[in-house]
Amino acid sequence: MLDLVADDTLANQIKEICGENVKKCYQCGKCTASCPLAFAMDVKPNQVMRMAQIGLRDVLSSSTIWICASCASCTARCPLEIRISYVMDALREIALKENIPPKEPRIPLFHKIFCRWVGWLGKLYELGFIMEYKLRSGQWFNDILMGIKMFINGKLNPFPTTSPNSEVVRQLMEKTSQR
Amino acid sequence: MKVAYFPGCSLHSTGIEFDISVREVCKAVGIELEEIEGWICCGATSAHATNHLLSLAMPAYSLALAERMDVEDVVAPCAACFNRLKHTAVLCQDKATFEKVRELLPIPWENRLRIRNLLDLFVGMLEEIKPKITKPLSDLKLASYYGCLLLRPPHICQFDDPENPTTMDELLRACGAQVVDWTHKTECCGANLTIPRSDLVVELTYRILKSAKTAGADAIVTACPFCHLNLDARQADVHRVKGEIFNIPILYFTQVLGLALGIPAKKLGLRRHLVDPFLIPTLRRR
Amino acid sequence: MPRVGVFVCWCGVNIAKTVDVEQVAQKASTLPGVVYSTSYRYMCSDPGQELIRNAISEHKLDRVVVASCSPAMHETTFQRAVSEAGLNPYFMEMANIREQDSWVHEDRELATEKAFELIAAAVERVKRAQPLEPLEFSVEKKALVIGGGIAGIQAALDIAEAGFQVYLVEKSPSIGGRMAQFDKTFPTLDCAMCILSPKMVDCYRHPNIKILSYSEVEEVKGFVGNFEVTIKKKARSVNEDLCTGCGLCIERCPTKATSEFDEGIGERKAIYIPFPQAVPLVPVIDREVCLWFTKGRCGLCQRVCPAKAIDYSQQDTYIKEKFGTIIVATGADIFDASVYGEYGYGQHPDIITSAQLERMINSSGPTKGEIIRPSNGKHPESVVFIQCVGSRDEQKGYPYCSRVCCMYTAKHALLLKEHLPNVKTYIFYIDIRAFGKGYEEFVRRVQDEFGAIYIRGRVGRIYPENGKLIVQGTDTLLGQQVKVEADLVVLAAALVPRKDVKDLARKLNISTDEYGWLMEAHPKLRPVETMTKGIFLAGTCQFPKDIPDSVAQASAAASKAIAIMQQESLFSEPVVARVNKNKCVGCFSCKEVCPYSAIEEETVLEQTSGLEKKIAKVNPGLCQGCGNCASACRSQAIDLLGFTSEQLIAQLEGLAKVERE
Repeated sequence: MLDLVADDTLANQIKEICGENVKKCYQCGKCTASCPLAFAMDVKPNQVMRMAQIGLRDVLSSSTIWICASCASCTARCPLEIRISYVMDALREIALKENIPPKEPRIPLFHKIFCRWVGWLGKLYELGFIMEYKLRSGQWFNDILMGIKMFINGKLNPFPTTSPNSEVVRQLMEKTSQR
Repeated sequence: MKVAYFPGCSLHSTGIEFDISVREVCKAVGIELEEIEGWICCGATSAHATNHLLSLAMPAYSLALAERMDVEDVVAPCAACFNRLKHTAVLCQDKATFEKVRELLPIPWENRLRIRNLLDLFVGMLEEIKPKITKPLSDLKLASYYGCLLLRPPHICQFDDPENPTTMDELLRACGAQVVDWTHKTECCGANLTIPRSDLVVELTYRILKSAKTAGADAIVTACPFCHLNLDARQADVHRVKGEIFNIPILYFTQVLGLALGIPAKKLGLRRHLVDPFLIPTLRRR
Repeated sequence: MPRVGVFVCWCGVNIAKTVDVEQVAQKASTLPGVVYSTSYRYMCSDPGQELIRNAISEHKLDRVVVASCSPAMHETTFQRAVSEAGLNPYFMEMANIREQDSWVHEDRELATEKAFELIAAAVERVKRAQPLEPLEFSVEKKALVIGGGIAGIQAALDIAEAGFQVYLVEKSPSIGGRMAQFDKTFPTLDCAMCILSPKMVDCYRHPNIKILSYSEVEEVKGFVGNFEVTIKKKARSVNEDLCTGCGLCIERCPTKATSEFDEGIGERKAIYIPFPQAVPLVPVIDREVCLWFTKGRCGLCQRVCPAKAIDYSQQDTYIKEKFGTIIVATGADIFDASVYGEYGYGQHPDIITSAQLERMINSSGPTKGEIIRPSNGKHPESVVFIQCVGSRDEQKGYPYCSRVCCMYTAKHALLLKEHLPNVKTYIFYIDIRAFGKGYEEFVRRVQDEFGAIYIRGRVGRIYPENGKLIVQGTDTLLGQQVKVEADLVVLAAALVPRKDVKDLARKLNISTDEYGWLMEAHPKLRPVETMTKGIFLAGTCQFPKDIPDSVAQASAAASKAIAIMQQESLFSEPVVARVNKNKCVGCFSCKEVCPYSAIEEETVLEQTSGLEKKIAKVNPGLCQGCGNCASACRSQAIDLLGFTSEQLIAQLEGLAKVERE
């Protein structure tokens, strides 16, 4: 049984990061009703809101926060104008900061490698990024055929494009992660 | 008209044909694209999914660079880049947020430029474009696919009706094509989940392809390199998993406009798609 | 021989499509007594009525049959038309060839035949019709309002303002009702007493209003315009005329009792005024606990009273008055929450009802506005509210929604947070029903700004553990069983009908629904009237409602009452029962079946024997013409005017004769 103790900490953390007030949610369920990926989530979007509302931190280890593709269907349709997709972002941010083991480890790994490559070059070098992701995620052989076809069609640039301002990206990353 | 051009990372690689066709079409209709010198990645989903402030700061830097140019508008053809740039511009209208972001930047930034997507720009000058349409695509049935990032969240994108958008339809009709009425215009393709959870993307793209096919579309037209990748490159996986062959070519709206303007197919990057657009007889003649 | 005219209506295609109206009209002209017949597209239209009027004068008609729709639809229309042409309106009979013929049949030939038969029957009946005249009677220009809560107060004020006398009868020592117990009102958070007490004072001061507090309705006789009511004025033991309301008696009284006004969580003296703003501001002695009445000693109050107002010898007195109209505004009771064994109300002091919390929050209440745990007098840190206690519960309570609990619970959560900013508030609910103006916004504010945590689900049970109450419930939105530690649990008990309401309903001859709520004449179109003419409903005696709805209903009831009383005299429908004095044997079977108590007893001299006998008499003011008595009468002594046995048998013969041919 769940010991329910009113706890605003999580709601306040979310508010601090993205400005959204999860307490407003009246649980109509329209977010879940609109979500194209609800079928793959362990906790449905409205339940995520509910958990955030009453401070159940288990929500941070749900698969949902990573499965969410940020399509913002929920946000567009929420009758109370809660930007649910921002709440999802904030929950991911909190989960990373608190080192909560993600239920979908490959997705945060994807984001981490993405950010590192962008940090190196200022722009994304897709081929390099994908190769590293494939190696580290263990998904070595997935999509290999697709990759070859794309390469042949000239859709995977073998050479990295870089920005002269990659240093700026690194600085921004450093400054924002300190906060 | 001169605008600052923010191609974004995908348009140098997986979305190369988008970049090619954008440049060709803009030249044809008289839009001068000046690429922002030294632009950096917009941060995409990976930035906003992990660090809210970073997701605002990265586009802000490129926008600050654009403010040095003699332009009013920044054009980002990629829907994802458009979405992130616009997020920064809109959310930084809040003074506190603006200050927080500005402090992080090494160069001055006023947040004064307008963020445009190309669809919006083209439809705005449709009367000028129409006379230039010399080869209307009259026997082509197209499904206009907007996806998420052009439209949502509406308070950011401020572009068209988020539930029933018509901008692209209008452009495609001006190109002479027939536009089909279909159900998955604005549904999500799964975006970057295509790498870590391709199974989910296969499910979502299957639904979209199925809807377009049911509506009788010859091709799906998109404005987003993510959507293009998922709908085009994942069709083989959809076949493998769902046992259904679609072979629906996925085109960028700039390619359709380019063809209608009489630009040869090979100059629009049509050959680079994985699902061969020349399966459609009309296109074979271009 | 009567001269009958038959008018067949097409009703557009409604009748004409299935019935050959022209053929029917033609055939009807052959019926004995029929001197004229015709058909027309819309008989109810102005030209249609004109056609009837002209035919009456042209063909010297003295009876009319209109073959068209149901009399429920247009009887009055055609009655008016014939009376404008100089006929008694009861010389018009309708044959329903639409609802009972064209709409329910498909075969044109058979439907046409049936239309003719229905007309033939109506012709036979109308030939035997007698002229009827409406009855006229006087109206007493005085209203009785029963119940002195906000509904009764509003109704009394409205009627008094219109210039009529009002008697406002209140059972308890003061008017004010439930609203006087409240601290603040939702959603505006107006102080309840601040908006109520001016109205109470207005009632007290108004020259047209007479307040009878500590009084009850004993007996009601008569009918609209002429109700005869006996009111019992209970012995107060204090002379109202002498008392100045100084309160010295209360101060000195040594005996304490539980305060009804404080819902059992406070005390009062044996001599008491329920609350400081009471109207009238006159104490009453509770004879059940007063030492003078229980033990025959003390007498302190009498000794200290400077006005010599204490009168132990007072007796109940009875007042008889005549009233033109009656408004019932007796309010509702609160469900006994101890029925829920699993919630432990009545077993644990920290489990209270919302009404008790209301008194606690009120600064003139028993705790002077401090919200405390009754068990230890300390402020609670965590409070759980449970909604639908008795409402929407077919097993233990009532299936209906009590309509006010969602809102007062939200109000309590807000006031609680204002009193105790660090308190944690949890509300278990099934649905939030915030339907009124500004209500939804209010509930949202309570959630957003006042941090109330709404949990969708009922509570299973409550049990004490380590000095706390453990509330075991469910969050159906999460799909999880939950447990909340509480210092105080507040139960939103349902509103239920007054336990003595059936008594009152019997006296007034009005009906109650399956639960005991007083019945309105029509749930949508006659919501403040009862089935008994001249008696109206206001406030929660009809069904749970909030203050705005109670006030609105009270004003509506008042305007209905005024509409009756401002008439010089009333006319009643002449379709009433009549007793044949010679045939009546005085068995009074009719009295048992009359739903309107219209049968009275009359003593007459029997013609043959010259002996006195008791027979039935119909009070035409009360009789609604239902005909129950006529069918119950064994000696066929009762006829319903306009529906006499002779007429009905002739009508049946009219049908049968056609069939034989």
